[in-house]
Amino acid sequence: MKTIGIEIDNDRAIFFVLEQNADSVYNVTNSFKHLKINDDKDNNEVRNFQSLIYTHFDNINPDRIAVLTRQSKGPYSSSALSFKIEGLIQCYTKKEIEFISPQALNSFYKKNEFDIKLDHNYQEKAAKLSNYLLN
Amino acid sequence: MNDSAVDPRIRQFITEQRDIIIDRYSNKGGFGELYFGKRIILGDRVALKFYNLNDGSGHEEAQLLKKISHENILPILDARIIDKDISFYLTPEMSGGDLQNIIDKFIVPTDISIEIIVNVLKALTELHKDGNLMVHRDLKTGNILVDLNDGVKTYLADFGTIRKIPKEDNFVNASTYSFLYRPYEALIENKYYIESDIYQVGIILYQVLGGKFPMNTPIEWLTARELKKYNLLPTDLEKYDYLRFCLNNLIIKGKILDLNSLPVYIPTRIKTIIKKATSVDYNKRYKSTSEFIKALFDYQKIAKIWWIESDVIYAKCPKKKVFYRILKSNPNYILQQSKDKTNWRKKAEGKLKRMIEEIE
Repeated sequence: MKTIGIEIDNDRAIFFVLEQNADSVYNVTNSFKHLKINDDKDNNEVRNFQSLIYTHFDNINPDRIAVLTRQSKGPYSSSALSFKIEGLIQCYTKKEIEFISPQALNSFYKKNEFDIKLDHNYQEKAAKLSNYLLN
Repeated sequence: MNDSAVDPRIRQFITEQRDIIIDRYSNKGGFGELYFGKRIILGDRVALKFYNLNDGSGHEEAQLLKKISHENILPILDARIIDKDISFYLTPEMSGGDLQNIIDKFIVPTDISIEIIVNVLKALTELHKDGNLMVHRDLKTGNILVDLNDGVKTYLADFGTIRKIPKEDNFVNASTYSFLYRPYEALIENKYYIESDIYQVGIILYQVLGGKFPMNTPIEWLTARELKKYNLLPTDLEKYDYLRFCLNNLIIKGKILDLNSLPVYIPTRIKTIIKKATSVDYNKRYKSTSEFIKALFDYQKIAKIWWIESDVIYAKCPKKKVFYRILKSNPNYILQQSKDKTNWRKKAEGKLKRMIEEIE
């Protein structure tokens, strides 16, 4: 089973890919760790961004893909660009894009251990989400 | 049509056609014979590839083209049996011909070069993706078709060498075709990985950007000592074997590409991408097509577009919509800037490298 966990952090999407074979879980994220939009008014860049994410999904052919939900209202709401990125990801038609809340993740990791080795600290939320999807 | 060497059964079939006016033959069909013509009812140009069932892998190529559908993979329109040995399949004819034909005639602007390579990588994703797990094994400029009627749309063609990677391994046997494109692991271990296709696309990127590759004049790749030995060999066969031996050595040493032969404006960042894609060690290459596209995507976000017209170097900054051009003015170069590509004003003068740095 393969899962992709995605955290959208302002102008970039952070990806973490896990593969489960028998009892072992492997990090197969490789170097496709995050993708950033520099100029969201540049149609070409936005189209290429979306096309690249879809190519990445196609390549992996995952069983589940999920995006970590963010606050959409109130003083701590996420940036408009992050919702644009979310929309671009949601348009992928070959697999359902799931949404998982931080609360669901927190409650899961109160009962389950997270022992995936990370290359960078910024990968933690996406990695936790990817691991959550395996269960 | 210069097809006198073609099997008479195929030639007879061609003359009997009433709904396709066949007007051209090409001997570039790989395993088969390639004809081109116009369909009378639909009015479109088509290519007919004839193949002998006793050579190659039977109907497999046609069936693969039918199975693998992607906007950058040559679509198959029909396939028919004309004889117990001979069949053919029908595809659209691409107006630009193959990529080699394009790069022989033009120096392709950097943005279009990258678009072509991204399209090839997207098509390759369809083969590589988990579930299909196939490798092409013969990626080269001659197997990429270009349609100039729709921007510069690129299609991956020639599926005769495709193999499925078995579940228990991560490689298949290497193909023996197009030896200049064969990576280290194919030459030394007869193994071909997903990353071996990545290597071949890296070479194509280098070629499209204007890098010198021993396609037409391989002798130029020999050292003075090797050339001397080559010239002393008595037969053409011995010369060919020796040339191949020398070029294989260059591949093994990772020296088949000369990055300094790329046009002077090609930035280091692109050279780094080519180096990574064509690394001798397959473990050091991009692991997937999407990693390769990501490197090009990240580059494009900050890149200028470069091209050459009549020996003048042009650049465009897509964000600021400013054009630059560098003209020779002995002994130096002049850098000019324009907003409309009509009214130019001088910006700087000096050595070529400094003018390019000024733009970057």
